[in-house]
Amino acid sequence: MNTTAGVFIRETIMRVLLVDFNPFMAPATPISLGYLGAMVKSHGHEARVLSLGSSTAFSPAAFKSWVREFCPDLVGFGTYQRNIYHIHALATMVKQVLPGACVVLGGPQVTFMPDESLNVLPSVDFLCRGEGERVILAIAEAIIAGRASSPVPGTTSRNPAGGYMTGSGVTPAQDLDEYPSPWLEDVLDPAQMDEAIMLTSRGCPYGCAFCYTPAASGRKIRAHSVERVIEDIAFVARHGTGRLWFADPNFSFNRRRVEETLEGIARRGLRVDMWIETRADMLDRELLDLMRRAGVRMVAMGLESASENVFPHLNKGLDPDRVRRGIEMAFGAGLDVELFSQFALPHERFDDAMVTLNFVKKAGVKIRGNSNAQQMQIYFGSEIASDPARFGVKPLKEWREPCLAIGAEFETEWMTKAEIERIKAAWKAESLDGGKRLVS
Amino acid sequence: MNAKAPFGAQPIEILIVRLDPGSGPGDRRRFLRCLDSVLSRLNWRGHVFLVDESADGQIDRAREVVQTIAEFLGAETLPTMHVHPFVCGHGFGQCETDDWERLLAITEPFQKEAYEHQSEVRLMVLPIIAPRSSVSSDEILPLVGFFRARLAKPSFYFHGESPLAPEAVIANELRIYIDPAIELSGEGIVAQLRANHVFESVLERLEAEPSALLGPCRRHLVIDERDGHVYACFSQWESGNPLGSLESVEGLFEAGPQPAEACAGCIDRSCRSMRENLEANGKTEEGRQVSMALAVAFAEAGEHANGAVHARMAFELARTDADRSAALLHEGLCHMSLMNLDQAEAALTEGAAYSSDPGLFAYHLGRIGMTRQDYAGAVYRFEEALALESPGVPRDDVLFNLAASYVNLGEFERGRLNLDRIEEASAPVRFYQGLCDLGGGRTEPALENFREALALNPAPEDLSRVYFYMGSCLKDLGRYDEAIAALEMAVKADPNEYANYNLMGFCFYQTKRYEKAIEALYSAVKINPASAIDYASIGSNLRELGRYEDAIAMYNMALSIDPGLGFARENIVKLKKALGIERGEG
Repeated sequence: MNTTAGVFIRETIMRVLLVDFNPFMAPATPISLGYLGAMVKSHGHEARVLSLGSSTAFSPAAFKSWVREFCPDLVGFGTYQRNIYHIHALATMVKQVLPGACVVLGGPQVTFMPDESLNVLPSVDFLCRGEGERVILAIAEAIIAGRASSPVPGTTSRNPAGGYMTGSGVTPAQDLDEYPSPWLEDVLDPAQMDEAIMLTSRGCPYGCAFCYTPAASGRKIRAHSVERVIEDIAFVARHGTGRLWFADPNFSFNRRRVEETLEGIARRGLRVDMWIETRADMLDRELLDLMRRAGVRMVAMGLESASENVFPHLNKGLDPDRVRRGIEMAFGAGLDVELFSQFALPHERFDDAMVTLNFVKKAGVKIRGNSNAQQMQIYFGSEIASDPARFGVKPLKEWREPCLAIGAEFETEWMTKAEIERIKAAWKAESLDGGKRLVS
Repeated sequence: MNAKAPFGAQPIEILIVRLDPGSGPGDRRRFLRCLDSVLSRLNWRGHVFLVDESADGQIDRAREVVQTIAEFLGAETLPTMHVHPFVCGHGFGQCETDDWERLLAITEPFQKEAYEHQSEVRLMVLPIIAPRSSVSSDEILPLVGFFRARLAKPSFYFHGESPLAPEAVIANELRIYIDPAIELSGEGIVAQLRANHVFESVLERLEAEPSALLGPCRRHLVIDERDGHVYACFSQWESGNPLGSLESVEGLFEAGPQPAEACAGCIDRSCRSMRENLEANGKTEEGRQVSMALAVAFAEAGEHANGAVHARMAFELARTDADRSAALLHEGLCHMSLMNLDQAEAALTEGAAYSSDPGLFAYHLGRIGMTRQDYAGAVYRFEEALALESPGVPRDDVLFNLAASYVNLGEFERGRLNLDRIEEASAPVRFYQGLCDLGGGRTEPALENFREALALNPAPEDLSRVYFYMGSCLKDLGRYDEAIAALEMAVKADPNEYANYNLMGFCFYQTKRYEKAIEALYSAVKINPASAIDYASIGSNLRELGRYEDAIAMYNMALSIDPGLGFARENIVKLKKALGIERGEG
């Protein structure tokens, strides 16, 4: 930065630090921040992505020293309900050493977080409302132009005159190929990762009541081109371990696209092990065989609940029998299966929850990793969060800090907290890994 | 992603503070300032152990430290600290709980914060209680309830035996330390903390970092207020090897981790001493897993003695036959590597009784037999392993060792029969087929087998023997020049093998190259000075060269080693006659 007549004028090249911090699990590929970093870098700025986890040993003194040395102008944090106070603590440390740095929080829950959250997050300057790639650029441009005290598109910030201000909405890119690749732009290094997370598409057309994605994506899916996906996979396979985890909410939403992608992987002889997530009703044996030939080892599907008293109310449009057929086909094709299940759902009694557990056991799915069920988590942006009473959800606390949604702090009309704990214990007793899975 | 942040050296995760009960108020304030200066350099999730073996139940100093840490956590909102005050001579009366009430009140704002933030409590107190005198579970459990109600998690420290059954320990989610010493001492306490910490580190690593099992623990530092020094780890403190003084503690946080070469020894000692602790805490299965993993890790590092000890511990902690047999198998293999054959045999015999694959044990017992050169016993075991069709040993391996045992017994036909059943021909298989053919008088087929063994790239240490036997076949076939060529290759592969020179000498003699024969035979006696036959052979070669006096000298040398060498004596007579010595002429 340089000064003219006492006014700070920022350089036109920003130094951007993007931090991912999971206090409960080992660090994972910060794919979303990787995209932001690639976007920032492709516009001539400097970007650095830091991924910290429960197993990352660092002291506050060392973190501050490092931040002081790197001297970012803008710091973005990937934020979830479970880590928000840890993130804020890191943001506070940044401000302690660099009072002039701007701090932005982003993430699925931040998109829908109340403006009042800024009251309890004094070290945060911006809340990112939506997909971050174009928003982070908008913030950078506003800072460079000295307009950060005015509404910045895609963000909510404090109004110098009091209250809050929200900038105009930012339309995300319809063609995801407009977003540069975090791999090819050398923002993320697959050589440093046991497994690499890929994101080839975003959004979901379904309207499951417990999920924020419908609200975030407008129930639309946008995707990278097959060519771009293959290039990214080839790069990661060449430089990393070849273990890929696809974070797409619905990997096989477009049959032709997924076939072209898998055939492309096989044609190029890419040696990869892939984990994908998809709906059970998008699978058939032919597709599963193609998946296996291309290197898919595990298919994860959403079950949520196997009880006929419950699943009709979830708006998932998928019944357990279809899920069962999907599991059988996947096993028959030689793939392993993970099932996402939840308990304490609307209309679910204790016995209904046990139906789900028994379904999973009977289906032969190993209860470990993602197949450990979790209590439904109620976060900003989901239909249930917007009207818990309508779904029979009774929050345990009357008051919460504005940056916190209900989370897991609830019981329902159908299950008390004690019953929810019993179901949790029942799952843990069947778990092959002690139920190790923490929700972000 | 790996867990290494780009922030420089790994931070200290655990601080152990041995307090000085004799310190005055000024010293205590200075100490707290010193502590405060280093808290921001601890890992964001850190542990602080406070040891004061003369506390006599007093927790004033512990309260001061907790207060200092609380003030730090009030200013720095990221770190989480677990404070473990070790309280000796703890009573179970009202005044003790009143004292704790005052200390634990310091944590209440953090509990409120955790409630409001739906997150973990950032300041937890986990006292380690060493009771003043022997106590019963009826006294302990209400104290547990007191702490739990205040979100503190107590552990208890006993000498010799725990008054709580393991089931009660598990049910109440407690932790028990068992100190075998009769009296409490600072050294004993730190030794217990060390052993438990190291054990926990290894247990953690079993899943996350199995290849680094014998490496350094999570970084920790011992601050001994009593002697005014700082130590790099528990082990260095016990050895009296300081890193620096208390005054320089801030700078010592930047020092590198403790020397890794000492870690394996510390891990070995620590985990060996954990037996009573594991039983008291109902954690024998975790103990078995750690012991078994250490047994393997030590063996892989070439430390088979430690491997055997930990395998035995794994056996003692095992609760299923499968685990018992796995441990005993490993113990047996460690003893075999150490050539402790009796112990190996005992472990494997014991292990077979528990195993669902007794054939595997029979196989290894057969290998012991071979090592002892008890080939008949080895044959018995290998036949047993074959009959039992062990899934744990490739059938070819059993057949090969069985055949080798038959060969060593001179039963060449049986040896050959078993070798012919081996599916994959390898250099050793071809070699032994050659030996069997040679033993059975089939020289040409033997030579062919030795040639094929050579083509299959035998191990460097086997090359000499292959060439030797090729030479031997060629010698038997009268093809001495080819035999010499093979034996020269044998010598090149192993210049220290006596038999190569001995046979080479014979072949040179047969081709009348007496000087070369003598050269080879001299090499033989250099290796084996007690070989009378070689001296005698030198003599024969000298005789052929007309050097009768030298020949006589060699024959005499041979007879001095072995007076029974008749041909040497006869040759001396002949040569002396030729020299006219007998008649005193010349």
